[in-house]
Amino acid sequence: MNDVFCPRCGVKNPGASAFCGACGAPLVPQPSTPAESALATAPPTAIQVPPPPPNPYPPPPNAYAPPPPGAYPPPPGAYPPPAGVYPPGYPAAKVVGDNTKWAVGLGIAALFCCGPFTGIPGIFLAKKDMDEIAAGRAPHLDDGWAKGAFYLNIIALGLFVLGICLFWGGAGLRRF
Amino acid sequence: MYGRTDKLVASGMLVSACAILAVAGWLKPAAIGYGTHTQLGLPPCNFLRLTHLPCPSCGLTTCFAWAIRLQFWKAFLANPFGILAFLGTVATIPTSIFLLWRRLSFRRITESAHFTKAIYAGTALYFLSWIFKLADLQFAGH
Repeated sequence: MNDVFCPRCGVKNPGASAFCGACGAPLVPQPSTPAESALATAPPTAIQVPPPPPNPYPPPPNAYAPPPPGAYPPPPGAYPPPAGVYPPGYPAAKVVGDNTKWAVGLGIAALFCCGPFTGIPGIFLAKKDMDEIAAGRAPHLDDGWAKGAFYLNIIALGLFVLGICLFWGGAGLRRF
Repeated sequence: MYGRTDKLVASGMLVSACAILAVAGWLKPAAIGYGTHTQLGLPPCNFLRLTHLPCPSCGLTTCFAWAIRLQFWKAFLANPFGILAFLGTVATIPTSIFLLWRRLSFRRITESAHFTKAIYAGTALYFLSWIFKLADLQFAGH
């Protein structure tokens, strides 16, 4: 029986050995032919894998190739995309909150005729949206609109107070 | 966290509500249904002067002046929304006392969803009241 070489440490062992006498690794029986012997003694990394055969069915000349990402604009009607589908780095579109819309309307009414009767509720509504955005509970809402509505109502209230002060001041001046 | 600002807000609400009701009791309600506030030295309504139509707030002071005298029908005719505002002002007094007593923040009320709904409902009633006044002026001539 041929001697066997340990596949781990390469030490020669008698053919009847089941394990390597040097390192204890299990031994495999050696082939009897010289060619097989040469293959068996070669290290595992030395085995060459043949290259795959060429594709027997090459693509036709006018085959469709997918366009690269971003080559075409999105189809019409695709906006606004649902939340959470934006690719990284794409800024999500902000919407104006319902409270903010009402606050804008109340602020305009406060400017023209209603003063504090619509200005104070408008401040509350705009502040509610501002607080929601600041707390991170409504990241889809437009903070600029909420702040604009808030200050619109503040300005309307300020103008109301200023008008009363000017009227009182004018009345006082007329007495003198 | 209850702080000094919360105490100031509740105290301010209590004082304001009492002052509004006291002034309403002191004023003499105008017979035409609006213009009572001119007794305080305030200017007449510009909207009324320009358009000859009452603005949504016209008649609120008159309404308060009637309501504090428990003349609720006359108060309703002066400004229907004013009844609600009057009841809200009256309710502010025990509410602010409760907030001061239990050391609760007014933000607990304003941050609730019910408060937002109340603002929407109040705004709707405010403009409905205006429509009622315009219709009353058109058809009844009050």
